[in-house]
Amino acid sequence: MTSRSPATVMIVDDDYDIRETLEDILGSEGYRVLGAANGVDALALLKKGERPNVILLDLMMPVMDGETFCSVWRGDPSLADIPVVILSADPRAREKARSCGATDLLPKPVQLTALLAMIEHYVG
Amino acid sequence: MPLDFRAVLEVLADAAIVSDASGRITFLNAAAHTLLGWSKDQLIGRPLTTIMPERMRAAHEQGFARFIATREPRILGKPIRVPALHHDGREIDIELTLSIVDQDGQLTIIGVLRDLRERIELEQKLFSQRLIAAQYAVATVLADAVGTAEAIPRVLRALTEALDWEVGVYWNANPDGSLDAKFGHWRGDPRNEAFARTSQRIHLQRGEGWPGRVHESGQAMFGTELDRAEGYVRRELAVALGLKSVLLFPVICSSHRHGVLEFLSAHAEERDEQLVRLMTGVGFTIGQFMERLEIETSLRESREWLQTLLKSIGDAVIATDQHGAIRFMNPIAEQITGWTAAEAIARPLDQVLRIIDEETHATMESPVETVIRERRIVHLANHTMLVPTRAPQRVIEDSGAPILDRSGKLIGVVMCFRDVSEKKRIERREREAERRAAMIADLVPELVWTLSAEGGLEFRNQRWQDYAGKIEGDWLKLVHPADRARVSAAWKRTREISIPLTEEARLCRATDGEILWHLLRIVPIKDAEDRRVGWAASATEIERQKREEEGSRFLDEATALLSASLDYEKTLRALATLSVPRIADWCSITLADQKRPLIIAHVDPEKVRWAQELSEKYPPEQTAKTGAHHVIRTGKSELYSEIPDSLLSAAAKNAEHLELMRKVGLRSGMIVPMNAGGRTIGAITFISAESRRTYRLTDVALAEQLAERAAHAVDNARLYAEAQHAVRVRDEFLAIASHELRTPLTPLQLQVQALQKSPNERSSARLETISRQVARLEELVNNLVDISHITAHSLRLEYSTVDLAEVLREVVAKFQMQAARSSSTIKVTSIASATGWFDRARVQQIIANLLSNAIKFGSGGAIDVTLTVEQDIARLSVRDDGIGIADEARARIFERFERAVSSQHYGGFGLGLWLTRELVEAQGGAIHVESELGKGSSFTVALPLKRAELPAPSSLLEVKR
Repeated sequence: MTSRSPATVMIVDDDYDIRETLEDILGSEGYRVLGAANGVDALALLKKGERPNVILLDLMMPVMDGETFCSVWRGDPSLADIPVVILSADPRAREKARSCGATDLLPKPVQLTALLAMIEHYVG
Repeated sequence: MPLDFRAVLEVLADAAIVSDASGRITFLNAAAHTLLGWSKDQLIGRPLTTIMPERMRAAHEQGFARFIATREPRILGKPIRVPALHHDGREIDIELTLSIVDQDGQLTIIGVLRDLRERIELEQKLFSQRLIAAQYAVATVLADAVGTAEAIPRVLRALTEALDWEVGVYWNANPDGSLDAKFGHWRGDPRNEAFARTSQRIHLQRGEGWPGRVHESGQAMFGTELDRAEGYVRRELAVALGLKSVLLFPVICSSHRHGVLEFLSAHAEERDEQLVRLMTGVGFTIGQFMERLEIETSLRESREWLQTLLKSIGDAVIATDQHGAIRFMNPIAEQITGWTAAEAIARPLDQVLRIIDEETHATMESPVETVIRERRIVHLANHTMLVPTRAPQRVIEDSGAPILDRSGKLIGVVMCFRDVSEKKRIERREREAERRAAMIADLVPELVWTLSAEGGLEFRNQRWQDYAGKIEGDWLKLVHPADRARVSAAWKRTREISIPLTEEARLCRATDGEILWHLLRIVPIKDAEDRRVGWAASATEIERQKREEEGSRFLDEATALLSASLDYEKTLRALATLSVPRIADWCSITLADQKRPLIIAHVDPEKVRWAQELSEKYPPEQTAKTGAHHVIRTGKSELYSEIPDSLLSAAAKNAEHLELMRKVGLRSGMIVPMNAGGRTIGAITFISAESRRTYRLTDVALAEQLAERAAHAVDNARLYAEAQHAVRVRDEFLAIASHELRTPLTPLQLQVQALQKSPNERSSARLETISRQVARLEELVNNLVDISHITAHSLRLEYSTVDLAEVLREVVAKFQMQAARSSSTIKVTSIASATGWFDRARVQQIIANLLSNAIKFGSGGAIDVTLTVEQDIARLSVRDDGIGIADEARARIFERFERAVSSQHYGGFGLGLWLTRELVEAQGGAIHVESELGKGSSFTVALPLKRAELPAPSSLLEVKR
């Protein structure tokens, strides 16, 4: 795999296995992966100055869910140009993605090829 | 017939004054006293000139002297108009008719005076008084006679009967003086008819025969021995028939000789000069009648006179001698008694009739007996009954007058009577009919009344009076004000076009003010001539029918209302509002778990607020022995037909509360339970106040039905809410379940796929298996999610331009491996492209499901997939050679959890075809199957390529699954 650094993907998901898997897979694909267990952690990373090329965002999370995160993201001009892709198993993910103004959607479970194509699209 | 003229004159309606030959007044009757004002004492013995105006006296004395000297016949019986002097000095115009009676050589002059101006008064007197028999008979005939031809035969009949002679003939004078016997009448021996008929064929020349002579001379002739009568033309015939006497007299008037009347008797009559004179007078009367008929100018007067006498018809006259033996009967008397005059004459009156009291039936003295005893005129006005020995008894009005000779000796009695039984019978029948009608009217349960033609109240039956009380004048006052305008309009219409009225209206009961529905009917009453003389009206209480009708209509409306909404509070409020004022003035609804009524309704929102405040201030006792909470506890209705003050006192919390409740004017009430599913969930209270209606058991039945329906509606609303909740819970569960199932799939799938990217020999086959199973798990989870969406009606399709041929190729390619594993071959026959507006992922899913089924049930044979397009409809067909589907299963394989074969042999949820059908139909298509058991199945999906109603493609979030 060719190194495409410093392309950074932020994973916001409360499921540890998903974060691990994505960090593993995307890491092996040459992406720098930032993991956050909820919206608050994600915002903390962004506050520290992290500027990922794309954010993969789960919806159902403790502390701060995806939708709340979205409203903060949209309200902050310094963040607004970062694409946010909803990665969720929520049956109503499509409506929620629309209503919270997300850039795109990847319903769980996700095919590896579809995942990589999506990231490629926004990082590319 | 020895009649004393005085007796006759006394009963005469006309004034009569009698003088002797010296011109001194010897008698005047009561009518004369009335007419002239002079009493008997003032006039008797005085000269006739006393009653004449001064200027007339000389002429009178001259004329009278000549009259006595010459007895000039032309003034006899000829009415002349002269003025008379009233006692008070007035001059009055009278019509004077003079006649002269010669008794034993003594002359008596009788003047009959008729007041021309006071005719009406006279008519009345005439009506109640009597004429003597023969004159009366003639007068009676002439009174209602229309013309000579009609009158003469009756005169003949009347006179033959009055005289008791056998044959009467009228000889009509022709202008040349010849005579024709125009009319004849006979009685007694039937052979007499031959004489009458023969006479009628005879034409006598002027002066020929006895009639000719009488006509020429103007003098009566009396032949007592017909067999020796000279010049009598029909002598032989008359003798052969046994006729012995003949009397002829002219029908004469001053200006004209009309003819001759001839009467024959089978008896050898003695010459009776008085009879001759009397008949001469009759001849004058008839002549006068005829003249009157001829003279146009006197026609009106004549008519009045005739009409006056007309009223006398029906009066019977019987004359007796001083011992009460009958001497004369007129035809009416004959008719009433059943005796002919011939039979009755000489018999004592009591053999022919007696008189009894109408009520007691006790025999009474007859007027004849009274007159004989008291020698005065008697009038036995009413309540007497004539009991003839040969005829039915009748109610009569009778009178009697003595017949006195010159010396004042009683020589007979004239009795006049009038049959009033018909009148009485009619009166009685009318009274009877009226009483019967009233009795019947009292028996019927309706209100019955009659109205005059103008609409004024007349008869009212007892029920009417009980119901309406003291209403007078306008019956519409009975009608409740709310209906009065409508009924009034209908009543007006009815009167205008005289058609029966039928209207339903509420009537107010006077006793207690209760308002009850009635059916009003009014029909015109018509008399025999079809003239409207009034109205008959009835009112039938239809409260029950009306309430039932109203009740069922109300129930229908209420039921519609109850099923209109699932918001039970809104529904109950609408129900309560519907109830007022339809069935109650107040309606309140209390639910089992609430202390105060949930809803209080009244037409006046002000009153509702007031009642709510009242119920907050004085909340109902939960443990009371009556009332809504009691009904809720017991589930039994309570009915208070009347709400007496004691009930209010018992319910009141204090004096103020009592006063407030009294103010409402509660009249009647009922509380019914709202029973549903074996529970009482509440109670509805209906109260009547200002509408004054009284509830009965039937109303309770209606209210119970209503409450039950309301209870069901509330129960349904509850069940619906519960069901809604259950659905929400299920959907939530499904959403969470699918989320939770998918979440672990995500890393699992990604890990497998990542591993597969760097395969090694040993692990690749295993990874393949893991990957396949993960995919299968994913498909199951996806189906589950779809199902939850479809059942929750929240399936969203993501439309885009999709080429079905391309999708088909992709899906088939994916399935090639799987098909190969089950030794199936997929053969595709497809057109190059079939582009339409579809949800790409759903189309993939449809094709995948069909292929998956074909592989699963295809028994490893060939699978033919074809895609064609015809008229903008794409047809995708997947055919296998497998086990096929039994006929009975074919219809249900598209239903949820259905399968054609046992799940023991073939796995799966049994949701595949149902989901496929749902997805096809959601995109406007259809799916059907053709199959034969053991020979395979063919599923065909038809999808329209163009659809107008498709949603616009979304600008964002194209399907990327």
